[in-house]
Amino acid sequence: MFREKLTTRKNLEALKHEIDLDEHKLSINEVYRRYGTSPAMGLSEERASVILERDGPNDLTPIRRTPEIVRLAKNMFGGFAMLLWIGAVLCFIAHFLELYTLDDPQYDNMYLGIALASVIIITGFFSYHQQAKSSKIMESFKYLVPQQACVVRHGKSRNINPDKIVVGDIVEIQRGNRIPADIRIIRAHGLKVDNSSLTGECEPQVRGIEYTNDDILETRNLAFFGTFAVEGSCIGVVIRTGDKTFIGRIANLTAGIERGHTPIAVEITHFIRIITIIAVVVGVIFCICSLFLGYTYVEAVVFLISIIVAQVPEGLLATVTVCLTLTAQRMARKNCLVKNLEAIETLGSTTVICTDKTGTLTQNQMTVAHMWFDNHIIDSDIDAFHTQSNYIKYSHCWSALARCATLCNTATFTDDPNNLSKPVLQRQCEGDASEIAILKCMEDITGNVSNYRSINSKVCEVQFSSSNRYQLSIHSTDDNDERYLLVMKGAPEKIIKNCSTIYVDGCEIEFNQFWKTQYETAFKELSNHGERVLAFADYRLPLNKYPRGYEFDCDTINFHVNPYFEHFNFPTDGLRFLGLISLIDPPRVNVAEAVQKCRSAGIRLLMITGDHPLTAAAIARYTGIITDQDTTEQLIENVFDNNARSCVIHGSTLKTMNSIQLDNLIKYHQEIVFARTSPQQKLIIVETCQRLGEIVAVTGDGVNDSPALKKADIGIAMGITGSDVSKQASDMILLDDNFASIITGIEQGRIIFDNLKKSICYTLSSKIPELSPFLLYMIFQIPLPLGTIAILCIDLGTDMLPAISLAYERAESDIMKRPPRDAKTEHLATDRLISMSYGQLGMIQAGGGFFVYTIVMAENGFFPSRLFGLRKSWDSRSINDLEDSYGQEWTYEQRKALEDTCHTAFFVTVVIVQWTVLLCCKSRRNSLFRQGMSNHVLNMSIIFETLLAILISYTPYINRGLMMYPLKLHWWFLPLPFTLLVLIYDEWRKWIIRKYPGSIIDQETSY
Amino acid sequence: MAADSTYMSASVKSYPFSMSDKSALNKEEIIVKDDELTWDEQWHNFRVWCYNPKYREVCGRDGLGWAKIALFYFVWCMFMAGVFASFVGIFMAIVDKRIPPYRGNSSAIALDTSRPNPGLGFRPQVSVQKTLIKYRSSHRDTWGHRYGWGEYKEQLDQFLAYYTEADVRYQRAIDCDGVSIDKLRPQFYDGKSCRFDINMFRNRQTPCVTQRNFEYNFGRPCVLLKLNKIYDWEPITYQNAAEVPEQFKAIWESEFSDYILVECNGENDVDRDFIFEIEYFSQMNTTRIGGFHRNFFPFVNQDGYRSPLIFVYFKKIETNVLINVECRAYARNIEHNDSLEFKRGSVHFELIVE
Repeated sequence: MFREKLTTRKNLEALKHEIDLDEHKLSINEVYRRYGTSPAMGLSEERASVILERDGPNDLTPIRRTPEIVRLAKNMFGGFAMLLWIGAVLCFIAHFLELYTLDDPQYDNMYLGIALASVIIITGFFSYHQQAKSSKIMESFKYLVPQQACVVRHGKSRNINPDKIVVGDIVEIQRGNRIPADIRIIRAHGLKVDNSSLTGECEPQVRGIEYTNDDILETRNLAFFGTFAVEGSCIGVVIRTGDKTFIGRIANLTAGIERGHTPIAVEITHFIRIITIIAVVVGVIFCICSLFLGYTYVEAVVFLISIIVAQVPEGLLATVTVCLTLTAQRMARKNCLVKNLEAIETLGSTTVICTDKTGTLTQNQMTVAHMWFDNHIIDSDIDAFHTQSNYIKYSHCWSALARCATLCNTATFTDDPNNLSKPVLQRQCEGDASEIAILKCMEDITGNVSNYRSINSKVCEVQFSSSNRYQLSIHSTDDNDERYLLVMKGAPEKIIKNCSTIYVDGCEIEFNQFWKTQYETAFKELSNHGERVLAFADYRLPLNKYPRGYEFDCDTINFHVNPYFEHFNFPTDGLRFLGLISLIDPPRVNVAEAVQKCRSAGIRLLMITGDHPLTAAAIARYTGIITDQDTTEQLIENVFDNNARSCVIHGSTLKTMNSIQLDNLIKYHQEIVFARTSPQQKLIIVETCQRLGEIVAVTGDGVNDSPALKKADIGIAMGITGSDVSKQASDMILLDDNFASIITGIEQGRIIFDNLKKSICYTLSSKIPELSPFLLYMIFQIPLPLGTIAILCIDLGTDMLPAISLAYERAESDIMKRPPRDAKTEHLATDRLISMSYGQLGMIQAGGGFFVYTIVMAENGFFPSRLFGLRKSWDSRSINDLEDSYGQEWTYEQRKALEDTCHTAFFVTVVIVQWTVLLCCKSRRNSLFRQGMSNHVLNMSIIFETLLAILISYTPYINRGLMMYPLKLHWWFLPLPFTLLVLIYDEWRKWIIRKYPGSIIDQETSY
Repeated sequence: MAADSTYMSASVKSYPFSMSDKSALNKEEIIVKDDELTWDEQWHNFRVWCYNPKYREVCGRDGLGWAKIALFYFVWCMFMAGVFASFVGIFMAIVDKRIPPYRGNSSAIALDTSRPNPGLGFRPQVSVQKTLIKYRSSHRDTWGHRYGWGEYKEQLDQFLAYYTEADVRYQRAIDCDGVSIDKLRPQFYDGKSCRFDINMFRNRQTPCVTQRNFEYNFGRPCVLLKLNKIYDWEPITYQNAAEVPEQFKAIWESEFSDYILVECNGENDVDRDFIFEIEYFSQMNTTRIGGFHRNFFPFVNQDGYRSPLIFVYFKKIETNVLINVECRAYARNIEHNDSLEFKRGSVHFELIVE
């Protein structure tokens, strides 16, 4: 069936706006009227099928998957590969020119072309394989669709396939079901939905029939497609289906977002541009030279192409890919799974991290934070508790509060010996998040909760509901008191109304104005911490009125139907106030440290959360995202004050801002907390940051985060709590959901940028010794000192591993103490790097190569003076008796054997001089002696490249295949002075840089 | 709203290029923006980069900058050149100019064959690129597409002149006729060498003399052959008829044992069909085969050394066709390779006589 694809730009803009939905504001009858349905009868089958025909099935348009072949092609033809392709094509052109114009064509250009093509293809497949491995395409939205849905049609309820659901259907939802479409609730029974996939809020939300908020995510009477009914049941009328649902819009928005180039891709483009300009300029200059030297036009063109192609760094593509892959693997070991290789570096150049709160900064687990009793606020950290344990042990108040908290709690540990043997905090529990938190706290402090509950058996209970906002139960106690004990817990303002006394220091005293003020202060303080506060109270029911065996009537059934019905046959006022317990989803242990590190690394942190501003601000303060000590109210006002450092902004305020205001908001405030934000707003925030030139990392776990994740320069999803959708939209996955892991990522990203620079410097340095032989061959007409195959042996053989080993190099200085690189000015390959690599390191190598070439030639009879102008005769098959400086006459075959020996010697020289070039590339400023030799991969690579050179030179058949000859032993020692020269020169250069920063050496050679 | 108005003004100030990018284009500055640059701006940037009139910068460097970097690289290049030159100079100062450091099997000459294996050279060879001897016997001078034989004769004359020129200072050639190699060898190492007498060709009334234009003008060209000089290399000549290759068995004479034998033939059957008669003029008494006398070896870089020569006289060949000729030298320590490419112990040339 034809489905409209919402991917055009206009539609995308439309998607960015908030969903337009007013069904929650309408009266239920109006909703029925709008959709032509009724709660009892539902839709008729006929009408349903008509609507189905009109709206399409109720499922999400599958994400358009990039065909594998396109993904492969992207790897084959993107960026660097394209440069190599052009090189390869040029090679073939040059080869055919030679083939058709010269009598005695060489096949070098063809070999080079083939080598280039194979490098691209192999590297292409490699990176494609890497990508495919780490990014499994998950059709995750599909999994959100429930398997069966119960709808009322023709007055009968029946199970149908959820994709057949249409607008206007009446659906019945049981506990544990996924909501099959966006619905307006018409009847609910203790319904709680898990909206975490939409908002990221971990706590199940109470849903009912009331319209409580203008915001569609907040209001009680809506439940959304793809969310989960954790508790209770409901009946609702379907108001949106398929792609029009809340989640469907997000899915389409995510699918439609196009991302810009990654910083590393931009850098590589920049690098290619520099290389190309240099190659073409050098090529053209020497092409013109060759014409003046009397070569034919065809020869000149072949030279031009050869020179251009000779400067293509064949091995670099593979090196960069492998370096990134290695880093990705290293990061995977540290719980950062990288899906997109290029994203690794992005993290390093990140300037802004937009982080989610729940689950990333916090543990996503409600925990008891503080308690207030005896007019003290006590930190309920386990450690804190033990230091105060004596005080607590003898406090009557504490024991009363603990009793109340233990008894007035319906949460239990999952009854499984395996589970019960675990440490308390890790046990599985059943029940409401805050009750679980209190249960765990009590178990931890007082010990055996279940035993205590069984000896203080529950006689009657009233469950917590969103309308009464308290919960009470009546127990018989084991403390030799015949009277029943009524314990109550709930929202403080509700409990306080029912209390007449307060229990302080073991005395029950009147709950007068003084104590009320005390309570107010404590409550304010706790809630300012962003904590959810619960109040506890108890009451001994008089024995005379409520003797043993008294029938307590809680009227639970009625109670749910009519929440305002509070007719119990026992009193619920005149209680004794015990204290407060406050709960919070606490920040993860090492987050504060990680935030501090981010800050010292010059990275701004913005917190974007769907949570309440107070909670958000509290966590932000706790973790150090906000360092301003002002009150949260002040911070909220700071939004419009450009001088303030920190601010907290509410989603509703954000909604009213235009883009200029947003720009200013983000530009002028260093520390920002966005609270109560919608997914669309998250996306807008990311876009604003990007507009300001920031490189944005976004963390998120919910479906709602996926547009922002996709839009961000690097999207970071959570591995444990993250929805599949968010994982799919992201570039990186934190396997342990820990924000601190991002720091590792940033560090690795920065190291790899530095190390890639070093790798490039190393790889490029052998370009001059590879190019200059050809230039001298052309200009001075000497026999060719270094052949194409030898060049390939260097570029794709001996140079590869050392270049890759630089990826293992440790950072030179504390890279987490310097600001992120400025993408506009700090480039991967700069003219200075090229000048350093080509002009200096390369020159020494070339010098060494020519020296060894001269010696090999001379020792075999051709003195330097004889070499000049020899090219034509040397290369001519017709000359069978070429005389050398000793009067010996050489046949073509014999000369070529000598020439190949020279190539081998030149090749070996480059390898040997590259030893110290590699050592020099280890650091950019530090002396080698300070940098140390602890990079064992690099040390091994030096040995390896030497062994490889020995193998290539001496192994029979292999050496002939590569047109090499065994070298005499002493030729291996000839390059050593140049090897030493590299080391001395570079140490001197770095010493100057360190000693005289800003001097000409520093300006011209530090890359 | 007061708050809003402060907002707006701040925003305008903070965006220097947001007002109009056109005005930015007029400035001589590289445009840096947070947004993507337009083509216009990129072109502008490129132009400014190439030459910036405001700062007088070319490619992002002013005159002083260029001077500095030029100086730096000049000094650097001089330094490298100095290092290179001194290294090579030291080497050249210590290397023996008369005796190659690598001789015999250790020389690169022996790389492919594991021992030195001399090839042959031929004259006249007018072009570096070609092994073709093509001429019109009726023309002396080249005229358009008609190649004359003049230049071939000239080259042969030139080459032979080398044998008659008196090397005043170093000519220490001796007459080796009838002297055994064992007596000669020490003299060679003293710098003496056997004299090759080219008057022989005239004295023996051979056609291959300049007076007869080497018979090029009769379509019967004489081609000169010589064996490549290799330091210290000595031939091991065939001693009796049993050792020689098949084709020489019939014509074997005892004289042959002093010679490196040379025979030319068409390379393929077709070529052989075009060659009707060949004569060889060398120190040997026969004309049925050529030979280099073994007394000329070893060559030890003597100053007056002249290679022994053979004239191959193509007495009767087909005209107006291309004939591939291959000449091979035969001795027990000269090996051949049938592949044309290597030309081991042999030489190849083509003849077209019109």
